[in-house]
Amino acid sequence: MADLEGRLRAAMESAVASEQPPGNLIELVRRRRRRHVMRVSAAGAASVAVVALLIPAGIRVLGHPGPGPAGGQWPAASTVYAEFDAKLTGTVVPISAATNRPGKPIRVGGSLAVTPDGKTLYVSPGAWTIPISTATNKPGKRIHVAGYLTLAPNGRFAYAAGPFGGTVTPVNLATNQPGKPIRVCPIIGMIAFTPDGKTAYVSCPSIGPSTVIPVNTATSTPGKPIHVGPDGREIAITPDGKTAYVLGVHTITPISTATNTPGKPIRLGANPTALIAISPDGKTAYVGTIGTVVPISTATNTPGKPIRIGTGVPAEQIVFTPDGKTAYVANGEGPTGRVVPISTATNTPGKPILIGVGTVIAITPDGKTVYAAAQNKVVPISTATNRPGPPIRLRYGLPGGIVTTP
Amino acid sequence: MSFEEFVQGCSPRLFRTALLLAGQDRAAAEDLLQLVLERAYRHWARVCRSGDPERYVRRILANAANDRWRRAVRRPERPLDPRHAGLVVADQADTVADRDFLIRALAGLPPRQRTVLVLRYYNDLSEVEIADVLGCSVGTVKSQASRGLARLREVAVPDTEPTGGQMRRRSP
Repeated sequence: MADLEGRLRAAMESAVASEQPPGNLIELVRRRRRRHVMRVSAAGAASVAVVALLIPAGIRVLGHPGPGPAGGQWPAASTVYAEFDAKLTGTVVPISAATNRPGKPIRVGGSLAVTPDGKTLYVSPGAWTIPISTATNKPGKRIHVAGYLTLAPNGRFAYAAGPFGGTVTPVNLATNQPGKPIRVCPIIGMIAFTPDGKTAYVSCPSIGPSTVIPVNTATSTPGKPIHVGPDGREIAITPDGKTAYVLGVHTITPISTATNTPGKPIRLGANPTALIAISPDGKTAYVGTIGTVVPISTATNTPGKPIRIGTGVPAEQIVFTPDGKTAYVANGEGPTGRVVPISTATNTPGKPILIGVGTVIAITPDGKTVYAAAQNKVVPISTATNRPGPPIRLRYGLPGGIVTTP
Repeated sequence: MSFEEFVQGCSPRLFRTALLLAGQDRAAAEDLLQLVLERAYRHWARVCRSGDPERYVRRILANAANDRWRRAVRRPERPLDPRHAGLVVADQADTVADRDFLIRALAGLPPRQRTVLVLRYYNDLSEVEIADVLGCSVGTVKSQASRGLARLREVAVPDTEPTGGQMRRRSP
């Protein structure tokens, strides 16, 4: 009989000899790149989905922002934080929105999330999370929870989850202390909170039919799984909290949050990318495809006429101005990374604004500026004119994400 | 080399490695591979500059697998099929059973030991290369490999006492 090493070698070769990766692997990877969508949770900011985020696979969409501040005055962003992939570990660069000057880089990279009051930026490399005071830009003590933080709309707590481990862990944002993990499902896709923060919807994607599990945030109790279409992962919840839309590889499944029952799946003419976002007035869900963004009426759940953003250009990200009149769609794939403004009244696209490789965007809370980060630069775009300003030159590689603070 | 060409050419090998690292959990292996390729995609220029993209990506894969399962909730070792206990290893069917047993025993090892054994005996890397991939010392690689093999030997090596001229495996 062969020695153990020889038998082990033969066993391994034999066990996987005929195994093949999924045939659509490249598309899955691209889709994964696009789906690392996070949301800026700046208080009152009606900016919605933001930012491709690439380091480990943790995925989340934060709850929809609440209504704007009384009087309708939106604060201007004081700081823009752009995360780049420099030195593999990543770097976060603070940029003053007043002067468009970059500050001292913070040597940490990962998924970004900002508290509604803008006082703390959370950076999650994957194995832990680092809180950074936005007043000093100094990293605080590590929070030892794996995965990424999805902040509740009230900013008092967050759920941390990575794709594996099967649990979500509540984190008290006042103390940055993690609580007891809640077991939900083997592979976790995204977490989205209802606007009142009472329920977290956790997607459990699977190659076959997937599920979404509602978690009562008061009791940390998971509810009965809700069945959705294949690879159901991205979740967007309407501002009134009545419907959660789950984006799968072929379909969009609306879920009534009152009954936690799925509605009839919505099919588009083309397969969606990993982008779904709800307009601030809650009337339209925008779903990305290759080359278009498809508006879906949330009243009837019927898709409208696709809005063209460019041939072969996958829609990856969308942010809305606080008044909801304009949506900015970003595509960061290839050298023609661009931002396309869309009039939401007519659902017509404006002239594309070419930015560069890896374009990701965030909008300031006052809605006056869209910041587009691309390879080695950040470009401010005036929403009044849709013209790019002088690029802020940086040398930190490709961007992973960008957020703004009040 | 474009990213697409790389994926086309190398993904079967990487996937098989991922499958072994993931303890034969296909869904986990697919997710791990996507994660790793996504990182490579993001750093593609750098990956190409390394001169050996597959090696570079395998490094990310091995470390991502280690990180992932180290962070994951500790799972109990997979129980080995009791039918295999006391199995005689004599003919073709037994060889198949032996391999199956070994693979499942491998899946039950701590992640780092499993990673070292996969890199050593599936990817045919030397101890020095493994140390480079995992960013640890050669001594650590040796000790992890030794512990992993010892654990496998415990559950999978035939007893020294022959049974009717054939070898009997210990119960796990």
